[in-house]
Amino acid sequence: MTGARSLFFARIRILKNSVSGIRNEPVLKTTFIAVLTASFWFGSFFLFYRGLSFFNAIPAVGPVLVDETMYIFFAVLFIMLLLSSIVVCHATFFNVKEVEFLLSKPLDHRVVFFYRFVQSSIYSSWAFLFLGIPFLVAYAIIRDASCCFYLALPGWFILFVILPTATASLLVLPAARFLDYRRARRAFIGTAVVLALAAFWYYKSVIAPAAQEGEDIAAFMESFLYHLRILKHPLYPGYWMASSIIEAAGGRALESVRYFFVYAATTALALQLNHIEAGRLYYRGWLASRNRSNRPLPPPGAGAANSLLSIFSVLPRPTAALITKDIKSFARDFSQWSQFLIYLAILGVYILNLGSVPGSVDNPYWKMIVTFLNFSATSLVLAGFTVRFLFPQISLEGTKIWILGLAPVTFKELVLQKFFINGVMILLVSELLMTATNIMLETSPGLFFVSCAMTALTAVGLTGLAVGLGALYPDFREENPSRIVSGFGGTLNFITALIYVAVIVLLFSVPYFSYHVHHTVTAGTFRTMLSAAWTGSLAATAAAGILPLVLGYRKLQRSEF
Amino acid sequence: MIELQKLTKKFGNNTAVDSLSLTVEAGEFFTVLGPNGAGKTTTLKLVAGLLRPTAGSVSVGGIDMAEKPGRAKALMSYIPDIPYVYEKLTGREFLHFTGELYRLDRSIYRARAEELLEQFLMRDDGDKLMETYSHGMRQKIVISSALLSDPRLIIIDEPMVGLDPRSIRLVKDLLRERTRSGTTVLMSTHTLALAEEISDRLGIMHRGKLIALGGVDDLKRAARRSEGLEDIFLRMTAEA
Repeated sequence: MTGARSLFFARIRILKNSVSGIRNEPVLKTTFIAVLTASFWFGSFFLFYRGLSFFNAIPAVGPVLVDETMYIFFAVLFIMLLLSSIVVCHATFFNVKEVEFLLSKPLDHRVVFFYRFVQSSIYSSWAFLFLGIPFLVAYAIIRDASCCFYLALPGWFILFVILPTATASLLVLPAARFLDYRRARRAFIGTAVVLALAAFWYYKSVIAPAAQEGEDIAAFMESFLYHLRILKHPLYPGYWMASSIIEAAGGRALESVRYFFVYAATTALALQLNHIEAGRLYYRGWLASRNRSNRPLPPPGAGAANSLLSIFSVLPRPTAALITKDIKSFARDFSQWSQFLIYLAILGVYILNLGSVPGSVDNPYWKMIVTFLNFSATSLVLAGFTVRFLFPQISLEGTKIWILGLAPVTFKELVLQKFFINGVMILLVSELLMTATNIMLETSPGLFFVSCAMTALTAVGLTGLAVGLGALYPDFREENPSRIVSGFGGTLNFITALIYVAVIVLLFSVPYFSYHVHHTVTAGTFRTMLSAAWTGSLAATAAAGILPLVLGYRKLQRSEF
Repeated sequence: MIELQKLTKKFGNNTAVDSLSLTVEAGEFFTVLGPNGAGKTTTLKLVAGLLRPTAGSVSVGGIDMAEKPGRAKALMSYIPDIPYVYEKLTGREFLHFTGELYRLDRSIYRARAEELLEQFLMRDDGDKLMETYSHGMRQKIVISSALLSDPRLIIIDEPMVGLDPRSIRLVKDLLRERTRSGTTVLMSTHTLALAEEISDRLGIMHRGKLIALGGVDDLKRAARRSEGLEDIFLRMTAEA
């Protein structure tokens, strides 16, 4: 196709120049990031390995549970990639200035479309690389897979991420062409509500009763996984990919290739449909997206939303103005709040699932495991949330710095405003979540208090980390939050947030498991260990949350715009 | 109002502004001219405190920018060449946002915002999101926001790009009116006719240096020719 080669080489040139830029970075910084990334990968691998080993060791059902985990992993991942691809495709196909430039050139529209398609695939799936590789390597070791398995991993990865993007773009293209922005937004919300209701119905009628059937955890898990058989439907792409990997790990190459080709053929079909649809709809859809409604909004001070936002008038005026501006900008940005809805959906699914864990389990080992897993899962979701939504906030001020840079607002005030308003929100949400899940799990009062206190610490730490690193590594030229996050600073934020959560979990789990589960320490030693854990976690929170904030605003003060 | 002492700005090995010394009096309309890459925007950003000098100093209203940037910035408004704005705010919301940021008296800035929207024929579009605005409409909102805080110094980079003739006239009148009441205007432009029409004094920059300074008549006298500003500009920047 005309122009595809030029675009491809331009992209390669951009990549080469970016890599050259890294070469100019201080060696210490590059080494630090490399060590941090390696630590994250090995840390994740260790956690996945321990988790899968634990399942594998359960008598009778162990190996089956390990395989079931693989099915769940790919089933959930496919849905998540599909949802995030819908949002990312909409933004990268239609809301990027580069598209306007490219469409003004004598290029085939399909070339522009596939050029953006590849970028959408990368933006929506980079996090999958971080989590997916250590998980699959851990799985392969437990299943004693051959070296061919490891060689085939990149092939599975690349193939897996294309289909969700291709499916998403098949939905986005006609929506952009035939629905205006408001109708598309309504359609998105409507679909999300229908899906949520369907999931809730399935949970209440099929999965939740399963929780009542099992008397112990092993029986419960067996029953629970049986009821998740919908995820193994033979027409579901996640099932094909999981099956291909499971069969390969088991040494059944032919079966693995069969599933691989089913997935590959479906991907090829989806790409062919995209090729046809893009030729007919992409340019027209892009034109339609230009005809955005410019219906007037209620003037400042009028309307329900403005009345609601007036609660911030108790704050200093510049702070209230910045908060109001941030909230309005967020609420009016489809790509922002739709991803926010996806996070809420993840939390909703998580809470629903937690409701099916039998709370009356007496075994202290299980009780402790579930409590710490609950804290870890909640913190990890919050870590993802802070990276995605808080990290880009300072960068997004970049092109508008002529406003704030000259206003009587210091960068310290700007950074602290972002920290406090987001911190309060994150703290409220996380405490609400932790309290609700603790009640559902019937956690003991002591652990209840400790887990809520740990959550408060991590809320402060994760918020400070995201806002601080956002100020320390801003990308003032980029206006797309997804791209800001996928840069160096966002990746660093993601890794350090995960390490920080792991440190907090480790600090508290060691004394609790030593005393309450393994009984290897006395009550006095337990108290000493717990004090050390509090001291350590406060120090970790200061290092992760406060230090980047201070370094961040100092960097902004020294910056030139 | 503005005092630049041997102001120098280097980006790596490239000297964007080279030992520039200049004084601009209160109430003066001073225009910086120069070809692309002459260092005009860099000079304006240095005065606005958006860049740090490599050497030399900037003083605004007697306040050293390096020592008390907050106090110096409180005296001025800056209008950039590319009007980046908050796309998801309406024009009216943006003006109110600016008023709150500068802690202006609410009743005064609201009335002033309405007046400016009216003057720029933006009243009907004031409640539409700025992402739907044309370049000129954004420029009108940005200029309005700069005038809202009644600054003692207005720094304005390429003010007329994208504006319709009526708005160009309005901006010219507003700026002249401001200088008559004591406000200083520091402007950079490529539009020589505009500079010739409204400036009290002009400075021509080339390769980071100020190669000519004075009123239009002074420049003509210095050139010893009865030619227009355009000819003087082209000859000076070609010879320099």
